[in-house]
Amino acid sequence: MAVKNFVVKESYNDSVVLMNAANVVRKKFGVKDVSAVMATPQNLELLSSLGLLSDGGKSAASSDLIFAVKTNDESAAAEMFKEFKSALAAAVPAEKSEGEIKNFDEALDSDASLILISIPGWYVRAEAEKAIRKGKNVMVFSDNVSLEDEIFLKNLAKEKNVLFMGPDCGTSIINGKGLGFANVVRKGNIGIVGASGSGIQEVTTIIHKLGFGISQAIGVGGRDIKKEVGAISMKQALDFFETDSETEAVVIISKPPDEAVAAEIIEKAKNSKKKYVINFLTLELKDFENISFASTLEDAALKACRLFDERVEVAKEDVNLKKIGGKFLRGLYSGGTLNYEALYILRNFEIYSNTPIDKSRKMKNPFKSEGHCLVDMGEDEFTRGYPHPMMDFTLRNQRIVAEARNPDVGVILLDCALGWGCHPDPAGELAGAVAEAKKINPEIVFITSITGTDADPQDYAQQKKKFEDTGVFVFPTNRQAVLAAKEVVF
Amino acid sequence: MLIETVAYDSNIGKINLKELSLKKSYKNSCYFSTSRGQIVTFLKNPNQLVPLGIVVRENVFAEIKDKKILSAEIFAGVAIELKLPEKTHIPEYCAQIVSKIWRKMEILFKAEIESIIQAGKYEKLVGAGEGLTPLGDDFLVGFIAAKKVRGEGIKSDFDFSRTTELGRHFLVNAVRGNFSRNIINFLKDGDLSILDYGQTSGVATAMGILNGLGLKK
Repeated sequence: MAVKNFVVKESYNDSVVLMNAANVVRKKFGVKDVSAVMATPQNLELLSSLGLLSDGGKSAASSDLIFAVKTNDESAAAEMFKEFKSALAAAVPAEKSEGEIKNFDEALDSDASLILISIPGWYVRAEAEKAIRKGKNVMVFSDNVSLEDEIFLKNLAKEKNVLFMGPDCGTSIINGKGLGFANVVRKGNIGIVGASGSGIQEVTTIIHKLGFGISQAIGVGGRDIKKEVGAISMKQALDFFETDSETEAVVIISKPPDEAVAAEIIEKAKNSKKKYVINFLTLELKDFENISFASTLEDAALKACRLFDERVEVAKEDVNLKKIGGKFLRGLYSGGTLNYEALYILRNFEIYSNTPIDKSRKMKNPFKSEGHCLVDMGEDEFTRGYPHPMMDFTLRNQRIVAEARNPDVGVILLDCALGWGCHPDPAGELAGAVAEAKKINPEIVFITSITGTDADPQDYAQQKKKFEDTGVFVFPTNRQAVLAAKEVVF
Repeated sequence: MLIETVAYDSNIGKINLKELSLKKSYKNSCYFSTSRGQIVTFLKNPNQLVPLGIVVRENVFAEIKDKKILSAEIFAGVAIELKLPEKTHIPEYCAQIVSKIWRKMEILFKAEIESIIQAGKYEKLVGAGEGLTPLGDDFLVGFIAAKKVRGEGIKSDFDFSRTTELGRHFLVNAVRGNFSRNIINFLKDGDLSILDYGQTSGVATAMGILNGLGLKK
């Protein structure tokens, strides 16, 4: 074995590029002992202790790059170094093509009326402020925007008379175009204002399934209804719908707002010329003349459609589920509001969660199931370092298989979101994990809903079939899926 | 050149930004050295702030990144103090995720670096391993951050001349108590976005923090 060192003077390639280039060499030449490191004294010592330092490398300085290989064939070493250098050179990023908007300034100067911002929350304020001042409507997909920034931006948007959606707003449908995670739904006369993404998806898809359509769906972010923010964006959206000739009924979806905020929203709705359906999830109130309160997302969609046709019914899925007592229910959700809706429907049972309605039922560790539990896998603890579970199934699939290893688990309850922004084949992803889980424990009952429409890019019928072929019971709404799970376990 | 910023390390105010000379520019960052050998990094928004870092918008970054010599005067943006949080709370599962990724990661000199850590010979980490900021430096920066948060002393006999210019920059700043935003956020509440930083840098830094806090699994 011969050791050969090559030195690149004053090299400042970043580690990603260096490691990739070293890997190219390892693969192409089938050799293991390839190192590309900065020639610090410590690294020279390490190379030497591994027998990878030759005379050529000993005189290198800290700012130099040292490429060390161990090989039988001395001429091959030179070939490897050549390959390494060409891999380094190839790592120059490609330039963008002409015609598309290349940077934020171009977006600001373009005639676009809406700008979607999806950057770490900490930088949102400066960019969003610029967009608002340029008279653009803004949707902020990012989370981790401080409350102070949110209030500042929302007040500014109100002053400039533009719409501010978000932050942490997963879903909006504006002029028939989906933003964030959004389904393809019919255009219609129902306007939606929602503080949550998955709630908007669920309600808009059910409305579509019932034969009705959406004028606009405006996501305002989960904190809008807190007393500090005072529903600035929600109220602005309601004002918009009030004068919008397309919109005849408005559906509001959010977790229970702070008391004063709820009173203000209801007062505004009461004084409106439009009809309202309100779903504050766990907060059910008595109806007013033009306001109906809904107890679930399905109920909200149904009530909205019934304003126009009393005969509509949500299709029921007839399935034959056997009761199995004494086993645990485990819900693994990607949609936060669907998880919350499930917790509310099952509020009379002892169920734990990372986002419980009753604080005493908070899971000790969201990564470890206990008793009956429903886990919102779109929460921060799961999305840090991973994309959202509607796009990336790594964590959810691992968890499905892990749950199957526990013989006490009887039912696994899932959700599956279709639409733009979501995974191109979510059922296929989940079905793979279900099949693996079933090999471990064939007794487990899998139940899911599909949040989607026949117009979604994923092909609803095909997605449903993928589930059914793996033995998953599929329901058209989350409420129905939850009730089915309840029948089996409790 | 007048440069509009988004945010910058508040210590930038103490630095002479005349006659910066370009060391290297990448897709999302470029760094210069000052006449006194300090490293000033320009980051394309929305990258996380680093000690003596300046975050600028994309179009500004495009103008800066190829300037061999830059005399900068900055305006606008927010001055950020890159100070450690007073308290640290890293949930156990965050620690588990970091350890798991570290275990799975294929790193040059991994066995050697791990035995240095085991033996507590932290001075030997300076300049050890892959990367322009060698991996050992990343680990050590995290380790120093953890010790500082806990109010514990650290050995000061590190020989920072034994590493690269960039590695030295982060180590020197760490000793002075200036840390990247990623590190601050991870220490505060286990924010795992630190793991996205570089191919291995973030993970190594997080491992250093866990070691320093005695949380290693």
